[in-house]
Amino acid sequence: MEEKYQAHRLLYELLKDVQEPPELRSIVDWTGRVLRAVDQGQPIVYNEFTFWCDSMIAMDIQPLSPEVWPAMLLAAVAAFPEMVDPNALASADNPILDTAVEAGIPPELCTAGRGIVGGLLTDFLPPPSMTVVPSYPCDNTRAIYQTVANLTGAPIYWLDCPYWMDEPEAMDYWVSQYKGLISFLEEHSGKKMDYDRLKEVVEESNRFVDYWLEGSELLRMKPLPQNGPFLATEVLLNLGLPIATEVVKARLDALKERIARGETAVPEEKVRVVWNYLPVLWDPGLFDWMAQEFGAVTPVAMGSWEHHEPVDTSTPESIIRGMARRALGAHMGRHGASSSDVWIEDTLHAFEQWQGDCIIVNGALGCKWVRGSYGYLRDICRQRGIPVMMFDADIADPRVVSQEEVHARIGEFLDTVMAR
Amino acid sequence: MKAYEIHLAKIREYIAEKKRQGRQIREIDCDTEDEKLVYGLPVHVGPQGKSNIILKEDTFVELGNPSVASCAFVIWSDDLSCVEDGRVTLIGDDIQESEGKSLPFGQVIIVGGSELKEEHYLDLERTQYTSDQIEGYMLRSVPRRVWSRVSNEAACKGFSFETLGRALMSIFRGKHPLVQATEIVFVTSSKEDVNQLDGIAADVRKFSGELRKLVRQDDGTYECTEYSCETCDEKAVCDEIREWIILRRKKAAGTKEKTR
Repeated sequence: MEEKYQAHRLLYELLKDVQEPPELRSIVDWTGRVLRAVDQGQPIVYNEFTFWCDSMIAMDIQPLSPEVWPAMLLAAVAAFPEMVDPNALASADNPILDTAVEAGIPPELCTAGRGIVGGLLTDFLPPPSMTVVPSYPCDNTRAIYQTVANLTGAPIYWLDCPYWMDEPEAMDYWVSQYKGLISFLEEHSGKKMDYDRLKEVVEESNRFVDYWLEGSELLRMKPLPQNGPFLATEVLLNLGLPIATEVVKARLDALKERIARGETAVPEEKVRVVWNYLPVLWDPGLFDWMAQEFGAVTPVAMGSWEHHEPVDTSTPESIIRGMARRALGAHMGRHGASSSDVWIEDTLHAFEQWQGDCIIVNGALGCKWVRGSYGYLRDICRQRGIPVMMFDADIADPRVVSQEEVHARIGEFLDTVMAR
Repeated sequence: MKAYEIHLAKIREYIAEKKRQGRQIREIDCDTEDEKLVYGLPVHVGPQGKSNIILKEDTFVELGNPSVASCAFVIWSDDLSCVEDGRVTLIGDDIQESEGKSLPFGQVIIVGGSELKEEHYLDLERTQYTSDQIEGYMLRSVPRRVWSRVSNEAACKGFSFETLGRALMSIFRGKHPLVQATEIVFVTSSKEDVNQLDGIAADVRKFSGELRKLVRQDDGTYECTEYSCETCDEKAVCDEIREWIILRRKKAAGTKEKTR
């Protein structure tokens, strides 16, 4: 067992004492916890990437969001960009993704999903003891997690989300799914939910959400004080633990200090980009490149401004109900659970709230449900005179469209359409 | 049937019930001539020249934190006699009485216009979430929810629910020329009172959902009644789904028969 996950073990050893940037601390801490759980034979629960981990933290079951497992590597790249050249990745082999395809996973399936299967087959990704998946956001996750269950034999719990939440019965049904989740975790971990502990964890998560929302809102300022977006992967990793709250508060405090000093993201802000889709994850420097080259700042992106709701912790029932309600606001999750107008309305809302000048969205090959909405968004933006750019770029595989091409496309848009 | 008749009746009954229950209720009648709506207000209403972000430490009062209670919706009518034009009804404490508090918050905006139609509803509904238009008042960046902050500075200037009400009326009238009458109800009395209002909101949301083509039937299926199938651009997908539903029902019926 000690020979597996060498990349993560090595990076953990190198980075475990690093304090800056704060978000790196959080990911490194989580990686260490996962590796310890693996080495000690403790249960590990896969929480799909739209599902916050606070319920698992409350039961002291180690969450591992498999889509985020490579994030340790990406975070290290972002913190130390001299380590990897994204352009080199474009022509490199990707044994994890390729193994998944060779095993029979269609190449048209979402890269994140192929990464999970490939990760399991190549021993890059620790396997789960159990898996928790909501029925949102998409067919990709539903297909991939069935494969995970098949490959690992780990029991799986599906939270079935109603399509429409207009009726009170729909929310009651959804809350019952959440209660079922707790029963599932108890059954397969051998632990019982301590509701006093759950209250502590959720109150910690409320503090986290408070800081996160403020950080995200501060990026509504014009000119932008710091290039965004104000992401918070901690919701999937260690939400409800003090380290997650410390980290997001540190980032908020740093942002406030910049504002107090009158600092801005760029000397001359020319364009504010609303990117209501996942960023190009394998190129963590993309937004900064846009800012430096074109004065195009990115105050907001999908994942930086979820439905941040605090939870009423007065009773166990109010806690569960609040957590269930909050779960419906998760990035991508809320957009994939219902009709396309939710994503479109949110995009327009973000455009107004963060004072956007244009909308840019990349289209990952496997993300058919969002891409199916792009035509509607384009039509609405035309009616409203909002410049919009849609282009192909996979979120996790640089071989589909290279960094060079991504830069060329975005550069062309910013140089022509937005320069008018 | 006049639009939203039932919801308006429920709001009137709600207010009457709160009166019977002895809640503190204030009714302020404002002059609704356009310039006079914002005349004399302690804060600027309109596009804000500078950032309107209000941090926690600068907050005088918070309204509608989801962990307390929050509810906001819009009702419209094409019958102007149904709308008490210019009235702001406040059930509960006012801003100035609530320093440092996080109040449960209900906000009902009633608009009337003889030319208003169902197709205008979605735009009207969106307008209640318009941010950065009222100095010292910030809507938090959470979609489809009115969760807001009033700044210390605005409160010092005298910001009240009358201020907020008149500002919102001005914004609605400015954005929607067909709106001829506006009335607003604010509720801060208790979490229970706001949650009760949410029951009416749920009906309104359901009604507005029905404007979006699909209507839920008693058997749980969805039927489209708003548009003509011949002109609907989703007809091909819709037809395919109907075929699948028929196949599934046949299969389910076949399975039941076998188990018998």
